[in-house]
Amino acid sequence: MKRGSLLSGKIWPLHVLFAAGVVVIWQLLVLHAGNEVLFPNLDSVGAALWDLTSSGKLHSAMLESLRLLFTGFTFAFVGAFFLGVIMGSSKAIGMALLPLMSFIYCVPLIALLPLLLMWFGFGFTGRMVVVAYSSFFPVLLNVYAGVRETPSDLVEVAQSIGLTGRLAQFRHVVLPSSVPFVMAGFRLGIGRAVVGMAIAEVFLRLGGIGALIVENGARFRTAYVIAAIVPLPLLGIALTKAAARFEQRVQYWRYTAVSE
Amino acid sequence: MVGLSKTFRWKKKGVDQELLAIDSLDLSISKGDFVTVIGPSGCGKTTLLRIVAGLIGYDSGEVRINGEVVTGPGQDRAVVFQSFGLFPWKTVLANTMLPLTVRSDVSSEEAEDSARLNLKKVGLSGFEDAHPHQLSGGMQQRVGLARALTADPDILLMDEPFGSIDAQTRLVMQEELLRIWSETRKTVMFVTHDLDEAVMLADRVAVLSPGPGKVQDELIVDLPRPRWEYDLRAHPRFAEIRATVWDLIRQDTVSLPPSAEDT
Repeated sequence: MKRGSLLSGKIWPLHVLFAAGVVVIWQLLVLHAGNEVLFPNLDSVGAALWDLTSSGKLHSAMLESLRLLFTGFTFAFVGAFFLGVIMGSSKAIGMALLPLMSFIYCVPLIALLPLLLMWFGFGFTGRMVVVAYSSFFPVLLNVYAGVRETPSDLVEVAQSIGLTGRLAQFRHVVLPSSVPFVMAGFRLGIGRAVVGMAIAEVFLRLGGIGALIVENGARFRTAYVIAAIVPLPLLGIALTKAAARFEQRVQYWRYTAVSE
Repeated sequence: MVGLSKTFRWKKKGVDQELLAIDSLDLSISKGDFVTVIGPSGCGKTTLLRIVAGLIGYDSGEVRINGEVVTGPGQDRAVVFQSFGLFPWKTVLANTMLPLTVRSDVSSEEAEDSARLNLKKVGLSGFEDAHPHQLSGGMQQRVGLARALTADPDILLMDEPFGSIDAQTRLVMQEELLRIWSETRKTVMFVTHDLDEAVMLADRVAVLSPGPGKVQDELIVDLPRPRWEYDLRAHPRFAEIRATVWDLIRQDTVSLPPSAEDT
């Protein structure tokens, strides 16, 4: 905690400087190109952002996207958690499923889109599946690792005080000791869910933020495209940060244990 | 209770297919006895303790406690582990209570009272809400000891409990263990590789031979108790017993290399 705040305190001015540099370079490009379609002036991006916000378009698009994001991610997280626990608890099942899981994990989402589209349609279900698919594996692999790396000495302690059933050991040892892994999976998964969400909204039926981007792009309103893109990474960063914060709170014993 | 003595008898304990860790070992411990088990590393002393704890099985022979054959862990035994075995996500109090929390016949108030009492006994009052990582090694093992006492077993099984604790703290903890033992009179089986520790704590020292573990010899430690009231190490009898045990262990340690070179 202390080290983290110290670090960000030092880096903060650098962030500002870097952002300022990007703005300057962008404005130079604007001047040089003199073309609002290729490089819109930041003024017009700001105006577009204001327009999208004040008209409520961004707001409703955001709500739609978030609904998709959270439904998809919830399904992915719950499913991946249970599968991870099962794979981690049984060596046979783990060994049997791991190659298959690695295989599916390595298929690029874009390549899988036509298939998902045919199976699940381009309605909410299809889009949700895309979000779930993109966030499923980081959660699964982390939960799997967490369950497998249960400290064996603590399992022994549990046995010695009479917790001999697997369910009891799961509750008292396996689950709490894998919390750091589960949280890491949550953090990585939600970041990927945002990417999946954008892809789903652009390549399946248009909707939410994705629709804003595509519709404005089709009309060459570049300022509006940029204004619609900006919330996406911000959303990703915010969610990841929030997850990391929550992660630290849940597993503070581990963080403090690791540092010095 | 008719069975005041426990008899441990078993033959051939196989680990890793071929390795005979403990071979036809006989050892009996009477109720209230403090027995230390010492031997060179790899003699199977920890294996022996884990078998008695019911954490691992054995191939032949029998382990009996109060006449009953051991088939697994039980409330009559509690283990103090070398690695402390504390749950890092639980507070000191929750760790200490744990043996009772998991029992359905003990209320949580009772469990907490007992845990607080035992934490006081090991000198950790005021640390109830700390987490294990905030404590030193010595303090962590005090929690380990308090947890074992909270289980209120007949037998304390201690597996090199002070092995990873610095020398000075170890001395203090040995003395504290003797005090606690004199108050509670639990039966103790204490595994160690520390010669001084083995002699100063025990009523009886069982010396294991290396390779497949066997009880090579048993020595009665007839030093007066309470032992913290005088300079134990200066006592001539201490030196005598220590020398005898050392002779036994040294023979084993020295006799090993030539046979290894022959092959």
